[in-house]
Amino acid sequence: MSSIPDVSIVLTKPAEVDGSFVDQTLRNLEVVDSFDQAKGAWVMFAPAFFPYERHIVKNLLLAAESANADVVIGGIKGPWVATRVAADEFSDSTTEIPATHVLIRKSWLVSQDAVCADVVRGAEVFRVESLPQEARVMTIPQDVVAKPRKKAANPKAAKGSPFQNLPAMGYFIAKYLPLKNEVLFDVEGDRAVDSALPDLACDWKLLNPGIKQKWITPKLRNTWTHAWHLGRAKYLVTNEVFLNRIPKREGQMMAVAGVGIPVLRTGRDNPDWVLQPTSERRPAWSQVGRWDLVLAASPFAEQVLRSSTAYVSEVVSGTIFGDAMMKASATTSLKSELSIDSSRPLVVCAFFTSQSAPDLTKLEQVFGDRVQFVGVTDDCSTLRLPESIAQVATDLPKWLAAADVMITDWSALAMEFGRLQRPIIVIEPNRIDVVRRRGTYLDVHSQFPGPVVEDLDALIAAVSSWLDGEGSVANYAERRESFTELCGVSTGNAAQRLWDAMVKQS
Amino acid sequence: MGRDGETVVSTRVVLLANNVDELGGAQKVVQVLAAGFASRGYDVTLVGVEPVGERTAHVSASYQVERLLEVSYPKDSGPELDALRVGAVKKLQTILEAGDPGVIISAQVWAMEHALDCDLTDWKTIGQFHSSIEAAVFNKDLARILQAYRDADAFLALTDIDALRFTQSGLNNARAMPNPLAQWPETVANPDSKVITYLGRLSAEKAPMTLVQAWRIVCGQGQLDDWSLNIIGSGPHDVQIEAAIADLPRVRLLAPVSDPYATLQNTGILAVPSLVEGLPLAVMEALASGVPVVASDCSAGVRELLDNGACGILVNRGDAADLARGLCELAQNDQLRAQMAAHGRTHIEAYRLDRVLDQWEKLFADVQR
Repeated sequence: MSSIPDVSIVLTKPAEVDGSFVDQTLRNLEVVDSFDQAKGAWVMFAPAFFPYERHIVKNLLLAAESANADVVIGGIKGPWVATRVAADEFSDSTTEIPATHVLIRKSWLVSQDAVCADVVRGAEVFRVESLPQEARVMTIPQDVVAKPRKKAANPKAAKGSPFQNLPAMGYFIAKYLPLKNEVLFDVEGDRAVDSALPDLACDWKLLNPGIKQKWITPKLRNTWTHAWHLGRAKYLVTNEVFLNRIPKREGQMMAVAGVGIPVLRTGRDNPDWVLQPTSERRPAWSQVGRWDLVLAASPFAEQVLRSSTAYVSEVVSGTIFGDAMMKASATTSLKSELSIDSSRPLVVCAFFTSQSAPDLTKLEQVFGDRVQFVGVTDDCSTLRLPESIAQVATDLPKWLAAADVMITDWSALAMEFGRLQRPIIVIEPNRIDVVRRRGTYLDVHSQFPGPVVEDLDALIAAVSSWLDGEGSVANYAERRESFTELCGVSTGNAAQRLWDAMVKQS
Repeated sequence: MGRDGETVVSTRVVLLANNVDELGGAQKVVQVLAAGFASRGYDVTLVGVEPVGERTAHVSASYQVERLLEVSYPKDSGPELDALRVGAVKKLQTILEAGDPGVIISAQVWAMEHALDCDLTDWKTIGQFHSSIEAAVFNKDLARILQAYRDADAFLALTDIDALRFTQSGLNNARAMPNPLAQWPETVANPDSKVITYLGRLSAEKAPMTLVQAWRIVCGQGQLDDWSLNIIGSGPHDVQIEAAIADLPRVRLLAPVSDPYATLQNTGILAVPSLVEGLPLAVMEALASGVPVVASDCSAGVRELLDNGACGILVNRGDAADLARGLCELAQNDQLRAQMAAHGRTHIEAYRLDRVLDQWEKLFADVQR
C-alpha cells in the first residue's frame, strides 16, 4: 500500500471510534478529523458511522481517475453509466446533493473558495449550482448508502411451512395424491383480454363433457381450494400468471391460453426487455420455463413471444378472444343485442389504464349527438367518464365486434380489434415516446392502421374526418391488411386446437 | 513479476471452478487463464469443487490442480452432503493457508459459495459469471450471484452491457472482462467454402431446430442450391434434429469435434440460432478463422462480438424466417462475406489471450488498492 492515501475522508462529525470505512473495498484511504490533515489527492466529507456502501469509494475514485474529473457524485441514477455533466444539467430535484455522496479533487477544491468554504465547514449538502461552469463533474449510478441486508434464509426451515402458509399446506397434501383428470383455469381475471377465457372453458366443456373444470375466481385465489386444485389438476390453463412458488408436478400440463402474453407484450415489449431483470421480469422468466404450450395469435406474436421470453416449447396458433370477436361480428343485430342505438356509429375508447386515459368529456360534447362512445381499460380500472359514456368490462369481444372505430393509447385490445380491419386512432404521445425511445417490436407510427394524434384537439379532428368519410383515418386502409396479419387471423377453432395439443402432449 | 517487469503485489492466484475436469464453458476458460497467469509469473492453483467423470489430464505443469472432493455431492440434502461440504471447505481453507494471501478468482457461483465459508482475511476476491445477465435470470442464478458476489472486490461480467445490467440489479462492484481466445489460427478459412456450419450442443437454449426450420425455408424458396448445412454437436435434441432433417437436402448431422478450428477451415458461414448465450466461444473462434457469422441477437456478448453487425448478420431470436433471410443475404453476397470475415478477424484480436491478460493485471492492481 502506498504511503500517500488515494482518498482522505474528512469526518464532519467525528467520533472516538470510526466504523464507517473499515469495510470499504478501497483500502488505501485515510480518515481524518479536519480538511487540513487530509493527505490524499481526493477528499470526501462524511460523519463517522455513515452507512457507506462497500464499493462506493473505489467506484467514485475509479470514475474520477478515468475521466480526470474534479468532482464525482454517486447515486445519480439518470444514465446508467459514468457521465460527464455540467452544473446546469442537473434536474431541479438533484441540485442539492448530500455532501457524503461527493468525491472532490483536493487541489481543485482548494482553488474554489466558494465551494471550499461551504464544504470544509461541514455543510450537509453539496450545492450543484455553486459549481463553476468549467468544473469537470462526473456522476455515477452506483448506490452510495448500503442497502439493508436481507436476513439469510434458514436452509433447514421447511419451505412453505403449513404453519405459516395455509394454502401451501393444501398443496403439499394434494401433491402426494394422484392427478385428477381436471382442467384448472388459474386466471387473473382482472384484465380486459381475459374476458374471452370463459368461452374457452365452455368450448372445452362441450368438447369433453367428462372432464371436470375448476375456475379460480379472484375470491378463491390463495385459498385452500386454489392450492388443492393446483396440486391435483392434470391440466393447468392460465392467461399469463401462475403462482410462482408452486412447482409443476410430473404429468401436469401447463398451457397459456395466449390471450394476453404475445399480444400485450407486442406493444409493451422491446428487444431490450429481456435484459432488464427488474422485479417485474424475474417471475416471468421463471414461469416461462414451465410452460408446455402457448396459444399465439399470429406468427408475429409467436416470434415476439419466443424472442422476448426465450420460450422454447410448442406454440399453437389461434386466438380465443379473436374467435369470440369474429363470431360476434357475424351477428347482424349485435348492436341491438348490446342495447345500443344501431343507427349511430360506435366508438370504443380502449386505454391501457385509467391513468393514461384522456378526459373524454370534450369528445362527447362535440360528437355526442352523432356517435356513441364506450370506454374500456386493459386492467379494468375505472375511467373518468361523463355520465353518458358507459365503461364496459364484460362481453368485450362483442363490444369490439360492434365498434366502428377504436381510440386507444396502444391498449392490447388494439391488437384484437385490428383483426376487424377497422380504423384505429392512437392518442397519448407521451406513452408512445417512452416506448419508442427504448425500441419496440411494433412501430405505432408506421404499422398501426390509423393516425397517431398528439392531443385532444387533434383527436377530435381525426374523429371528425372519419365521420366525414375522408381525411386522415380513411387514408390508412392499405395498412389495415398488413396490421391484420400481425394481429393474426381468427380461424375459429383455437379452443379445439389448444385442447388437441394438450391431450397430444400429455 | 508482471510482464513489463514491474512488481506485482500479489503473486498468488487461486482459480475456483465447480470442477476442473469438464472440457466446456467456464472450465475451458479457467484452464486457459490458469496457464496464462502462470506464464506471467503468478503462482497459480486451479481448484475444482467436485470431480466430474474421468479426471482431465492438465497438460500444463505451470499451475497446480486441486479438487476439494474425491466424490461428487449426493443429489439430496442430508447429513452426507453436509459432511462432504464441511470437508470441502476445510480443504479449501488448507489450500488458501498454504501460501501468502493473494487473489481468489471464482469462475462460478457455486464455487464461490464454498469460498465464502472460508476465512478470506487479506484475500482479494473476484467473482465471474460466464453468461449473459438474461441467462442468469433465466436460470434463476441472479439471486445467488447477488448474494455471493456482493462483497467481492470485483464482479466480472462478460460485456459492458451485462456489467451495467448487473449494476442496475444491485451489484456495485460489477465491471466487464471478456473471456480470452486461447488459440489464434494462423490460416484463415477457405473463402470459397459453401458450407454453413452449426457448432454447439443440440439443446433447447441453442435452438438448432430454428436453424433446421430456416434451412427448410431456404430450400423451399429454391435458394442456396450450391450450399450445404453441417450441424455439428450432440445433446438432448439430437433425435428430433435427425428426424427433422431426414427430408431436407444438403444437410448433415455430425458428431462433435475436438478441434473446431479444423472444422472452421472449411466453413463459409457459422450459424448461431441460440436463444440464450453469453460470449460464445464458437463465434470467437469463427471470427478468428475469418468466418462470418449469422447469429440470433440473443445477448450483449453476441452483439459485441459481431461489432453490432459489422462482422456478421444479427437476426431476430427464435425467428426461422429471419434466420433464413440472414443466411441467404450473406451466402449470396461474396463481397459482404469477405468484408465481414476480414473485419471479424481484426475485431476479434482484442480477445486474444495476451490482451485479456493485460486487462486482468490492471484489475489485479485495482483490487489491491
